[in-house]
Amino acid sequence: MQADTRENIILELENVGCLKRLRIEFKPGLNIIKAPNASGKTTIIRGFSCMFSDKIPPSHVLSLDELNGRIRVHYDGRIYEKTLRRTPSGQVMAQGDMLPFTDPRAFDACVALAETGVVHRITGGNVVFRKYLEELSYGNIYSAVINASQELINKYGRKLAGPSFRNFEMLPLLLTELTDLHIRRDQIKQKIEDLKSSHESRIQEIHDQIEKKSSTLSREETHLSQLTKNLSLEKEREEQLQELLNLTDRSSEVAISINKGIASSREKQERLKMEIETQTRLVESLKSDLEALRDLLKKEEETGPRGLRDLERRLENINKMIILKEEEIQRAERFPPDDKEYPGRLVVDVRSEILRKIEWLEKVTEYFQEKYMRRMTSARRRFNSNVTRAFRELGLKGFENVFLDQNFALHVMREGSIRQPIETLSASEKLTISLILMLAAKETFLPDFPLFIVDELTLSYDPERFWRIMNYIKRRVPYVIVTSLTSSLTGKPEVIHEP
Amino acid sequence: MSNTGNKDSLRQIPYIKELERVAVNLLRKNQNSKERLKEILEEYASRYAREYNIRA
Repeated sequence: MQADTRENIILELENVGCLKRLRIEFKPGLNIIKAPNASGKTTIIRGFSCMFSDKIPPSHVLSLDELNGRIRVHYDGRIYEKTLRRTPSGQVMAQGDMLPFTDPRAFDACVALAETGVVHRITGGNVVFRKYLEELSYGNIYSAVINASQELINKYGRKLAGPSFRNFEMLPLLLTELTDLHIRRDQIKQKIEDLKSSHESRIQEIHDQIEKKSSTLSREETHLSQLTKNLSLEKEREEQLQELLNLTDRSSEVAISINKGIASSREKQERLKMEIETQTRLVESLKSDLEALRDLLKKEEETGPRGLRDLERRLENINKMIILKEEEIQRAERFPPDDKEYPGRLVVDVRSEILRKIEWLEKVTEYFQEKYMRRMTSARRRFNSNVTRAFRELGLKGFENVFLDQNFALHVMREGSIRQPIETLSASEKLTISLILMLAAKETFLPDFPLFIVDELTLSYDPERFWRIMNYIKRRVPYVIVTSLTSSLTGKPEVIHEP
Repeated sequence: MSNTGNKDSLRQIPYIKELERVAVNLLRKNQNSKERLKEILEEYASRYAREYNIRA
């Protein structure tokens, strides 16, 4: 009914493939393009397809020996025109209009061209069918987002496994090592302080000993001086007594008394001499001790505390290690100022930023995976339902059901629910199933697309079955275009219309 | 029940509807725009990292 209200489609081709100039008209219903081999049947399909799909490269359309070509379509009261131009570099450019029902999926769902591998689709396994339905249901958009998201997650993952972030992971260890170095430095500093303090005490002690010794020496020297003075006085006394004795009678009692005095003085002098000798030794000993103490003081002052240099060397080394460790920590904490991606930024901030990006991308991946699954499941169910309806309505003998399972593997069920492997089907059966699957795809995904085109699939085909399918398609699609080989020698394609 | 909860949480992903619209429009026009798609995803991921960092 819908086809009855539609106008004819006029297709004009100029320098397209082997056709210099051609004007043909498609009416609503079945249009059969009849022509012998190599007369341009497929060229017509290619040229027409250019007006609603970008799947055919312009270089496959323009005549090889021409610089310019043109495709013009009269549709629904308007003219749509596309020009083809060969550039000096040999590239073919196409410019112009597209038909209003243009759809990038139309070529795969509505044009059964032998070269597009329509049969290959059913023999190619579940991967081919999954891809086919992905493209027609736009599931490929969701899988593209999933793939892009996964690639980014991997990219960020690789980034986090890079040297900058690996160093950052070492930060707690580096900080512990720095703390250890600080503790060791403090311990050495304390040892140095203790050593210096102990040395100062030792110096002070020697000073005290020197002072004490000096004081003793001074006292003992005074005592020695006093003894020497006493001895001198005693000698004078003896001399005076001797002089006095010389003036007296030696036998007199006075003389006896003076002699006693002289003897006593001499005894005293002897005692004093012994005392002086002892005292002199004592003073000498004190002087020697004092000298030794002064030497010791000088030596202690000159050499300083024992082990101090060693400790100072260790302190210096630890200070160097602390500086190096702090630099290492700084590098682990922050990107260098000349870093291309994150100049001068804190690694912890960048790491957290990347982790949040990954978190978001993982959620996005999950969201699109769910959408993809739902879309593909729905697409497969609707597709199977249309396939089942087509087989039922066509009433083709021998087939009970044809469907895609959840893994997108095609199952052909013979009567009695016997599964027949695809590769064991005859060429004619393969073509039949291919055409029905394609029509089901069109009805599922492009129900309003007005064309269905079948190119030269009539070869090695059961004519009765082929035309039954064509008539079925004709009832569901406004314009059906079929090419058919003839043995006519006129060479020019002609369109036979069957309303 | 858990599936419903999961679906609800997926719908609450920041910018997801906006991203879906942009990605579908882009890829319907040109299916070879994979690099541009990655750029868009990176822009949204950066925006999320920036805005949700401030909120945190």
